[in-house]
Amino acid sequence: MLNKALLKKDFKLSAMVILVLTMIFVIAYPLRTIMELNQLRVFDDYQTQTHMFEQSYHGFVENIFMNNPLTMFSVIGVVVLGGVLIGLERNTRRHVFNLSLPFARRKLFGTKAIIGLVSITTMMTLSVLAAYSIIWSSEYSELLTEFHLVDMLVIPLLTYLAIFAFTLFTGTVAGEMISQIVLSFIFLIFPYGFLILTSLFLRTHGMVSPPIHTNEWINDMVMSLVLPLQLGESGYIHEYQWLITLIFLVVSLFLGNALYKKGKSERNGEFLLFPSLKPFFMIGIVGCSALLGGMIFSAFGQPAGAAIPFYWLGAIVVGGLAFWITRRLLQMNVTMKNN
Amino acid sequence: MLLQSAWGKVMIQVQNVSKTIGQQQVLTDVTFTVGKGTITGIVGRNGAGKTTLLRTMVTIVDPDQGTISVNGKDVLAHPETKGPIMYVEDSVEALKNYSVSGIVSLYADIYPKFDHAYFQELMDRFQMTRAKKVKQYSKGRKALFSLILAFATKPQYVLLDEPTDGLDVIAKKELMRFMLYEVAKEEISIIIATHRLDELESLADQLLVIKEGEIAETFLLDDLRDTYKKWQVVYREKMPDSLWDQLYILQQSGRAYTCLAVGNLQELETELQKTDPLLYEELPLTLEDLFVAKLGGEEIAE
Repeated sequence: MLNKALLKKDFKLSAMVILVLTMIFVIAYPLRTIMELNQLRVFDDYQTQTHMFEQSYHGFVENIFMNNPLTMFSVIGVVVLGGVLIGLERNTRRHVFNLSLPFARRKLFGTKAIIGLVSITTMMTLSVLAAYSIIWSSEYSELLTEFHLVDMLVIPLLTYLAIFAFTLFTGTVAGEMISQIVLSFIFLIFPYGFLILTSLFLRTHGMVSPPIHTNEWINDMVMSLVLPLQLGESGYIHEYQWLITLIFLVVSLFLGNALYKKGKSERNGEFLLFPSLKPFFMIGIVGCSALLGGMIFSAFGQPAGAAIPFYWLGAIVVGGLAFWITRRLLQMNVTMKNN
Repeated sequence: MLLQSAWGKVMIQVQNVSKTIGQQQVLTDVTFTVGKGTITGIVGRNGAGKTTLLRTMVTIVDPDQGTISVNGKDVLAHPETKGPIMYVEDSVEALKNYSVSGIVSLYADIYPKFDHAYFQELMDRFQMTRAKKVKQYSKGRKALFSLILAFATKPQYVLLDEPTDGLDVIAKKELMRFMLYEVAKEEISIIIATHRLDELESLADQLLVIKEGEIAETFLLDDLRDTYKKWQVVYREKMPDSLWDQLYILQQSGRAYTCLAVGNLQELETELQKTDPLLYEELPLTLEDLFVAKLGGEEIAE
């Protein structure tokens, strides 16, 4: 059972981010609906703009509930919320205070998860409901026949929840807030980025791409794990996207809970809480940076027909730089005395 | 085990606790017990492992080996056992953006025995004004405020890390009196980690000297006066070698010696008298003398 004191304490800590996130959702759904409806009325009033009216009218519901231009901000808000609940605590003395309390670590983690999950669910559901009600009460209520609950509420909501849960999980691996947020963003798009980088490496070197690049099913499966893509204009990719996202959410919470118990407070402020992970991160960051450097530099060598030497030049320069930065990152300790 | 028999019911038992942080062995096989209604002092140099030991006792730091049990229950396996334990380090520093009423409400939610009336009584007693936010208190006032909060929760155990840092002399004395009163009245057990030996002298029942992560010595202060004596002796020429070998010389100024006697005190006193000193008198024993003699004092007593 959750403890009232823990809920109050963590809610107070995250209240500002929750407020900002609420504003983003309010702007993205009800406010935008009002503005788009006004626009539709303007097009409707002027007979000369029939084509524009038709376009706006037919894609109206999809535009409001699926093609949200503020998605990037809400994703950032959700990740920052996870960062404030777990990472910021490790930057300050709050974590030490929390651990001294007579509560199991499972309960401490559970409280943070509940605060985020309930806040996001409430904010998003109410915003979608408000937008729905505004359309329903307008002269264009017939448009709501195009509203699909699963596609337009359930999957986006599950995706935000999974992103939040994933951020909590990275927070149990990272030793402080900035590294938690950075790692969350990197790993949220990692499958997509890794596919692009490796396919470009193979193409530059004239190699045959393995099934992961060519097989549509595998490709879709990998892409369906890139959660921010499910919120973009293209919408979700996989038929069972809701199930994949739900599994992502549950696994993130399970792993986060398990690792929160194992994390050592004496490593607070460090880039990673588990020193055994350092070699993997070093290899991963340097490897991916080298691939990225190769990709960028090969573009300059392409016109001269020297794509491969330029690729390796870029890989060595950017990979070397990444090695230098990562070595320092893995040794850092960021703890704030006054917060 | 000696302490267990001395105090009857053991309440906190630290058993074979070891901890390595990074490459450094911070605690090595630490074992001790704390009885009901007692004050235990943990003394040692900065970096000796005092804070880590206290933090391990409330599971902020997980031990690599060993167990900590409270009233027979392992705190790691049963975190709710920490309910009657208050760890006072910089707890208000973590919550300094709270208002005084906010922090009181938080503590009351966490600790069901929190006594609002007693909190107010202590605030008045220590002349603590109600600041709007905790961060508005000075360093010393913050320390005092954490202690008031801790004692208002009606704990059974209070773990204090350098509790008097930043307090002025009057507040410090008041606090000492208050702690003794709490121990006597409520049978609270207090564990204080400090390097201020003079403060512990009038307070502690038991002293643990921690050196490089190990318990180097354990003293029961009641037994101390029976085991050690401090004398000042003046000779016409110099102290006879036979006596020199049996006493710890704390200080020598010409033919005047300040020394510490350990062991069979009666026999040593008779021997001393036989050496026919010009003058000899007993001086009040301080903990610092003991540490200087036993453990190369400057390292411990700073």
